Amino acid sequence: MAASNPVKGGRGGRRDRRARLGPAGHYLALAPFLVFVSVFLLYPTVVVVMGAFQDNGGHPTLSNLRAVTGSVYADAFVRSIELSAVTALVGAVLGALLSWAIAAAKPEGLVRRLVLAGCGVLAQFGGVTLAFAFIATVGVTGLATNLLRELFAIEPPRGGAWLFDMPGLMVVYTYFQIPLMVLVFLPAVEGLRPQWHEAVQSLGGSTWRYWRHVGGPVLSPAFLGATLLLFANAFSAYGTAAALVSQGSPIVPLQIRAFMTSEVITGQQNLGKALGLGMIVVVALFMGLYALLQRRTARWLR
Amino acid sequence: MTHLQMSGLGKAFGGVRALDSFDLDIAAGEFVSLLGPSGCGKTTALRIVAGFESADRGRVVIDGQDVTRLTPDRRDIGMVFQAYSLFPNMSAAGNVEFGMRLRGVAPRRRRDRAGELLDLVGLAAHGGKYPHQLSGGQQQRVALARALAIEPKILLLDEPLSALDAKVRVNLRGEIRRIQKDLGITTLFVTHDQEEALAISDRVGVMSEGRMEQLDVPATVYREPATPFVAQFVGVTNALLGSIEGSHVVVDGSRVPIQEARSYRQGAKVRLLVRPEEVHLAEADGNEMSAHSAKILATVLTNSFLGPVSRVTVRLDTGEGQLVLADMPSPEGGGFAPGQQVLVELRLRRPMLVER
Amino acid sequence: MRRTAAPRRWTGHSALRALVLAASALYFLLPLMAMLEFSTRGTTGRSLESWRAIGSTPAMLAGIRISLTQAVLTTALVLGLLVPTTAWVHLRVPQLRRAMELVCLLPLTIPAIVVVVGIADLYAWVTYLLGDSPLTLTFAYGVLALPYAFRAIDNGLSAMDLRTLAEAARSLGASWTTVLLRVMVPNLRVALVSAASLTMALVLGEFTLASLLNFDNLQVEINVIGKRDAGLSVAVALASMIFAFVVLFVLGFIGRRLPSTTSDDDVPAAVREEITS
Repeated sequence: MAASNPVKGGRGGRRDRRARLGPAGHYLALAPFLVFVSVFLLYPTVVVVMGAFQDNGGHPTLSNLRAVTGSVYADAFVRSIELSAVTALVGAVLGALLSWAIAAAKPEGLVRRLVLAGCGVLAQFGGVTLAFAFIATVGVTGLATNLLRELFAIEPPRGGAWLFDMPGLMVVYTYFQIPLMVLVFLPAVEGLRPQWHEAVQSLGGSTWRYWRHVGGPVLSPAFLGATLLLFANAFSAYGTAAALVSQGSPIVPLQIRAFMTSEVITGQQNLGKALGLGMIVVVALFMGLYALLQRRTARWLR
Repeated sequence: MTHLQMSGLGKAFGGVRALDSFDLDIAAGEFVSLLGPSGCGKTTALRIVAGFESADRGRVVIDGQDVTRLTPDRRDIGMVFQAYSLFPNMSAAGNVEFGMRLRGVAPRRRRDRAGELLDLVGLAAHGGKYPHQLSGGQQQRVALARALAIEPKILLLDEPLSALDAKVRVNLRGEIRRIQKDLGITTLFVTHDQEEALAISDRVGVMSEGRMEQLDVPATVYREPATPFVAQFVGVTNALLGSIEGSHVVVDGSRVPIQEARSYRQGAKVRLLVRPEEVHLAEADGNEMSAHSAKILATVLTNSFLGPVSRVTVRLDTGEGQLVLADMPSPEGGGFAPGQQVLVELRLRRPMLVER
Repeated sequence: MRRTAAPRRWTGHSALRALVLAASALYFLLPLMAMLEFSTRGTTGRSLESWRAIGSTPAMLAGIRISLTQAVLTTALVLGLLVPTTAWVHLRVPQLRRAMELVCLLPLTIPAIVVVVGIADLYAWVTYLLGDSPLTLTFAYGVLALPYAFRAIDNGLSAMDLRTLAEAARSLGASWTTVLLRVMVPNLRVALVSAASLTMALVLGEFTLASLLNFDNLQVEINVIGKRDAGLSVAVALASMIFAFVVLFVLGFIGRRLPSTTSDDDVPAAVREEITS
């Protein structure tokens, strides 16, 4: 067969071999990816989840979780959730307003490009750099602090130290939540079709009626979803807080830092994993709801 | 009785004139189409009637009332948009009910009326579905029902079929016409599809560069185009290059007698506009050729069967070898084969010349 | 379409829009202005001392070099793993698409600070096997970048009719590697650029893993040096933000061409282009 038609025979042979390899061959091509994901993503996740339920000797226990849901750790969770909820809500409202303002600008225009690139940097690059941006602005000798002092003789609260505690985190977190809201919410605002507004008008309704009955309801799942994403974003953030807060560990990520860096509490190393599991549960909950709402909006705005 | 009157409408967008002293009167119950290439001002005219654009000059009168300064929500118009205009957060029935909801119609009455209208557009069983669950054609039917639900004085259709498949388009345009006749609602329809406009309108207005070129019943617009633009835009037209010689137009050495030629200066270069059905082909037998004949020798390039006619493309053998389309009735038209020599004869019903 | 040609009139709405934009610009630019002001303070008046100090601070220069290298390595790792695997899944084992998506998006629900907890023991092994270099963070960063890079590549692959493209190329006798490199990669250009830029921005801004696993990189140095010389750290922070802004702004031009490649009509054209080239 191969002699009579070498090219065709050769090819046929190759196809046959693949057919014989069957599904197993198909899955073999995924091996590098699977190895990487297993070692660097799944294994660490399992370490955290399992560790949360083990004592130092590796025996199953619920004491870690019990410790995490009480006392100082519970307070950290409450503060983390407060910080995330407040900055998510403020960020979502202001970000939605900004999205609405940008949506009118030409899609290919310079204004739009500048704003989007700026939002990308502020929302995703954040962390330590933003901490220093605010030290330069409202820190003890920051630009705004100095101006207020010189022009109006206003002294910053607590001598400027407010920036290095919860109030400071609120301000800086809000600063990076707004641009993230713009990135996430702008597509939904752009999905609003001018025909809907015009259809409402032709049916005898005002602009208010349009927002009340069409624009608002169409955007609300996207808005709610984006707010949940912002919550998860603030809840997982670490860099800003690590750079600003050096006294104590008011929020969960900083509690985990304490476990990672101090030698004193090695006896309870799995407490850190229980805290991690707690964070995963909270974030997964919010991200799951976000994905659900996102799917619904996508269906409407196709 | 005039129901919708547009007089002296003018509108410019940043220096570009979209409408230029535009007039149009539509009688009660009449279906008028505005037809033209994109940018001719037809959509602008419709949007000025709806109130989405304000005219720089002129007036719009609906049912005796000057509405020029009214906002869209107070004009009592029903409008169907190109596509995707249904409110995605409401079911089909919810969409149809919406206008009545704004007017404070009781829920019970609203539901009944929405049911009737969905039935009218053939979607009685789909009232509970959401727009994303409906096909493009179904969405446009719901949009039509929604526009009709408020019993508007005027129905405005802004290229409602342009986003649909060919088959759905033909189907739906027939239904739009049927419903319009049933309800006797005055309708302004904007389209760039001439076949659509000619098929369903009482009158067709052909527009170009913000002006009305011709407004007449479809048959007349097609058969007796008032201007060269209409002749070239509506239907398929050959534009043969020629020059004036007395009362003749010389096309590739052949003299075609045309009275209108006298009004052009001697030797002027012109285009002679000829419909394919005005071109007659005959088999060439080799000796009827003379320089003064109105018949032109040509070679068949292609022949496509279109049902009632065969459309034959020929290349004139003399001169620059211009291409000419001819529609020959089917049985004999099918006989022309590529490569065959034929005699082209122009049997002009209404000759039209354009200077070039 | 003509609709958008209508000029927007100066209505109450657009006035409010302009106000919102102006207020936002002020709010977002103030901290950046403050950084510029802060980093140019001298003992008397303005001075570029802090900016000049960047060049004479070896630790900071090392941090910059490490972060840039990490960014390049992580991008290579992520693209090298994801492009063939995602394409293979799309083509041959589409029943695994959901599963792969789930795995790739998993890091979104695991905060970086938690990844550190789980990965710390593992890195004891990594440094034992590969040496104590901050470049080994590439693996961990690959995990963090997974969701963003996967989304970009998956969207890119979904936008083109991969099966038809691959079959067309294979029917012309192209091998699998040829299909991957000469047919898919050119058509994925926009998606690849987007995946690469997201990955790079993420790595250049990364602090959590590096600082808690005790490796030095740009952000760690900014934080450490900031404790003794705030002016220097503010200068580097501002410079890195401007750098990231320029990168994203330039990439915005490339990314915007995406819609034209998603239309169905373009697929045959793409095939034709590949066959003739």
